Amino acid sequence: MTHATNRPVEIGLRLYRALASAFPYEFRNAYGDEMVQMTEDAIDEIWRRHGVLGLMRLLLDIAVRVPAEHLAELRQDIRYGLRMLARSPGFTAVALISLSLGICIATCAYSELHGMLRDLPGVANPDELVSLQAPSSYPAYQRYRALNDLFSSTFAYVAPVPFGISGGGHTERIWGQLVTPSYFSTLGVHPALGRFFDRTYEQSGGAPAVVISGRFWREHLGSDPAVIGKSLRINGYPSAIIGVGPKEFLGASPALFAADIWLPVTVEAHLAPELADGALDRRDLAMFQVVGRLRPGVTQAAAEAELNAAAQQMQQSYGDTDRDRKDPRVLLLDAGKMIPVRKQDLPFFREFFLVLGGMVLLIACANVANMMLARAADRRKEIAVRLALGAGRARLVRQLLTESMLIALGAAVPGYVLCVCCMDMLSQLRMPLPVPISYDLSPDWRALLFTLALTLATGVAFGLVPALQTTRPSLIPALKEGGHIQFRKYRRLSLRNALVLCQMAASLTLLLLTGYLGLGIQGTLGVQEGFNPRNMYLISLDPVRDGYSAQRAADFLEKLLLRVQRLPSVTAACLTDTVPVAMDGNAGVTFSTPGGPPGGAHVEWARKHVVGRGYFETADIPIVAGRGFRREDEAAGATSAIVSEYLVRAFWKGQDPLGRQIEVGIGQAAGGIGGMPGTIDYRTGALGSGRRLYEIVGVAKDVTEDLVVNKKHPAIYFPLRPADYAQPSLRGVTLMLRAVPAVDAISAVRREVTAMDSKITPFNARSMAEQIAQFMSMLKAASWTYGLIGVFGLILASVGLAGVTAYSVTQRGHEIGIRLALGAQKRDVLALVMKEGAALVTVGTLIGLAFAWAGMRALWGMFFSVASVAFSDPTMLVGAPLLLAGLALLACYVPARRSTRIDPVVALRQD
Amino acid sequence: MKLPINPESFLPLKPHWFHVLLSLADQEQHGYGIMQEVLARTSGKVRLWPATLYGTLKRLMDEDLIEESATRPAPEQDDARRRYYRLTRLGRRVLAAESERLEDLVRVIHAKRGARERRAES
Repeated sequence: MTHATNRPVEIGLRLYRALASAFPYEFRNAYGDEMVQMTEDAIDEIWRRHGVLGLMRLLLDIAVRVPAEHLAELRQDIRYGLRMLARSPGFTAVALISLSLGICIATCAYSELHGMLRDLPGVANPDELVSLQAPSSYPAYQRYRALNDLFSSTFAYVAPVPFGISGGGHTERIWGQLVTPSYFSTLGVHPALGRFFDRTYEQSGGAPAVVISGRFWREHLGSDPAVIGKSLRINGYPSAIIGVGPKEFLGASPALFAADIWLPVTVEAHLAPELADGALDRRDLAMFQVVGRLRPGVTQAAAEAELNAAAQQMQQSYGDTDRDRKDPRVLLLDAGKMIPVRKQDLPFFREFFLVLGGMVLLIACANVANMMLARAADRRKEIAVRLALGAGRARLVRQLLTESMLIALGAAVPGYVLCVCCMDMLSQLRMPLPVPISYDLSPDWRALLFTLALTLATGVAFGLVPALQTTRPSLIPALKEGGHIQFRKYRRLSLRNALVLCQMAASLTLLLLTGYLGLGIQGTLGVQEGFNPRNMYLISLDPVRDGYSAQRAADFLEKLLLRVQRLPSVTAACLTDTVPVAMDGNAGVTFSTPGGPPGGAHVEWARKHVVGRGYFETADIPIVAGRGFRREDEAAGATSAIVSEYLVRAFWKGQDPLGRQIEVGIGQAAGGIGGMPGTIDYRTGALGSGRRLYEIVGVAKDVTEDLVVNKKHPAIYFPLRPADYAQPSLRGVTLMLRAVPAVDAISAVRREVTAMDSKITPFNARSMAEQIAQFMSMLKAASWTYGLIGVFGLILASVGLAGVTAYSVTQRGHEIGIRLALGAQKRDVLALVMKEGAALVTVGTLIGLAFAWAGMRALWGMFFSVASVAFSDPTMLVGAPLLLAGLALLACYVPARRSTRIDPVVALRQD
Repeated sequence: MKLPINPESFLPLKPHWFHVLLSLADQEQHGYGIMQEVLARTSGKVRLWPATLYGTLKRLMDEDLIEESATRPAPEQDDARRRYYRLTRLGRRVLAAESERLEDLVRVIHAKRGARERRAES
């Protein structure tokens, strides 16, 4: 039919034809031509009756139907996919389980990472904030503050600081910070109630004022709206509340030093014993964390350089002994994140988590991909027929892909839910430190988005390749009857086999890595040598923060000790600062032997213990030479010290150390990310630089109390002085006692304390057994996690191998039937099938060993700090591959056995 | 073995479906013919646009209500390029069921109207 040459109609028709080609392949094939034909017939009439509007209506009609048809096809694919999946429940179940576990672990890894590297809550522009890695002195801070071209503003703070907040007859130990007035303004936070410190607080002598956190306000003051101006008894002295912080805000480093209360650095010493003795003027007291907000355009490197220059200048002008040091004095950290890390350390963190999580997910995906390949191969004939009859290849691929997407989405939901549960459990894990470390790892919307993206990626990953492979247009082998008999002389590396290889290698790597970690940790658990932890109890006191003066506190503690020692159920008691088995990993001192050899003039490091009289008797640590501490060692000028056996063996080669002198200075262990929070000692006695001479009066037996049992440290014991009661460490002063078995010693002590003064509140009461358990709990949890992950990888690999062998058996049914008919024994058939599996296992093991070796080298540092592991430990190195190989071969054997039961007649007759 | 499908399960029938089935009630038709007949029958009120029509035809085929006709009409009326459709047995039953449903509705309407008129008169 010809149309009159009519411009609009022509254009309309051309557009119509173009849109019609956008229809799905099948629809186009079936109805496309007809539809276009019908339009060509009708368009003149439509033009006549409805004009341009009619043409537009026509085009709109088809424009709407094109996506509708695509959607209808998608719905069909989904329904078909669901039916197919329901038809093989075993495959679907295994796929769902392995994938959801994989997704869970990967999302957990991401959540952990994100939780640590999250921006500080409530702070403005966190990426502009930088902090100095090591604490500085106040005069140094003032010098840095003057660098106006670098920073738009700065602040300094002391953390963590314990405060005794009394109310209702007892005192509670609340953690807070001492801050400069610019603290809140630099961070960019605004008060929820009242106001923050302003410049008037730069001078001391004002009325004591305090800012509390939103959390404290909610939990301890019942969200009282009239709280501003109310008085709070801090360390026994009243202070006025001038402001409440915003809801989520817990300070400048909430992960490490969560703060519920802030006081200005200019407060009187009785409110903050840390600031006694003119702490603000002392150059040698480096206890202030310094944070600054960089001006726009200033890089961290430039800031570091200028800060270093300033630090060096200061050292030069004061004539410091190490003023000519070449290494950088100042290192900057990214202060805007939950856990401050150096930019260089960031990739390490990221990689560790993502690699671990990614590997597990990879194993799961490889597994499912393999299973899908096997499944798809079963449908080869059906697909070949469909292709031959004209189905679009793209459509078939999309159909197969829909199935994998359904599995992926179905696995994502339980995977995410499981992840939330795991993170919840993890967040409740308490670290055995005196400062309560809180971290919120619960997954947020970002984690959900990550999960979804991951799901889609995995769906495509394990679905696309099988789909493409199965729909390859080489139809002839599939259509030909019996065309798939292949007597393979040389094993070709098919895709399926390659996948199994990857799986085995990854599983072995995972197993070895996690095994070393897990076993290594297990090896250190529960082994404490050198003292007797039975029936030992500990309870901490901090009378100064209950309002006592230093002298009164000393008297109180002495009297308490006497009373406790006289209790019938107590066999020994002492006061001490440090206790055995505590997270003191990095607190220590450097020491050297003055003068010449034999010890040499090297500077060595030793763990520092500050203990009272009777410590060694109470803890049952034998003194192998000399004596324990006596009362005269606690006098102001006394310089007695006791060393451990290891120190004597290592540095004096067994010669008599009594009467020798050592020079002791302060020193913090390097390594890792700095001192563990709660072990940082800000007290004057601890931080004063300059070295002092000590005389050795006794040698104590070694006590292994570290995370790593085999690592021995030299240790030096110092006497606990009454002067220390004025400035107790973060742990407070601990009363350690050994009691008669089966008696509640803690209650007895509490009664004595209350009898002496009901206002004093002891805290952190525990038995030694509890302390050890808490210490190990973190490690136990870690080792369990690693163990589970390793086992999971193992199971997945075995299942994968079983699947591949099962498929191989079905494929070769024909061949096996012929062999059996020709006289092969069942044994021979079994061997034939197992050979393929065995080859895969061997190659996979070798590759896995190589990867594991590389992985362990890369993670060396991290391993060594938590596990005493010798990488040449034969148990792991031989045991793990054997375990994997054994399990894998077993997985092969089960389907291989089926091959022996093949009836040759039936097999030959089958297609 | 396919279970017998209940024609009632298709009710109420979408209007377009009804029109197409009705067109095929007496004779086999091709797409253009269906469109013309519906247009004439409804005096120009209902026009089945091509894409919608073929979408409907596809759905009806999927539901087994219509099928492609094997026989062709007489050569003079035949157009070799077009495909002809006709009702299946199920299609016929569905059409009958829907017609009955609509007739019932009309009866109810008439009864109500009659009652209203009688009340208005009294």
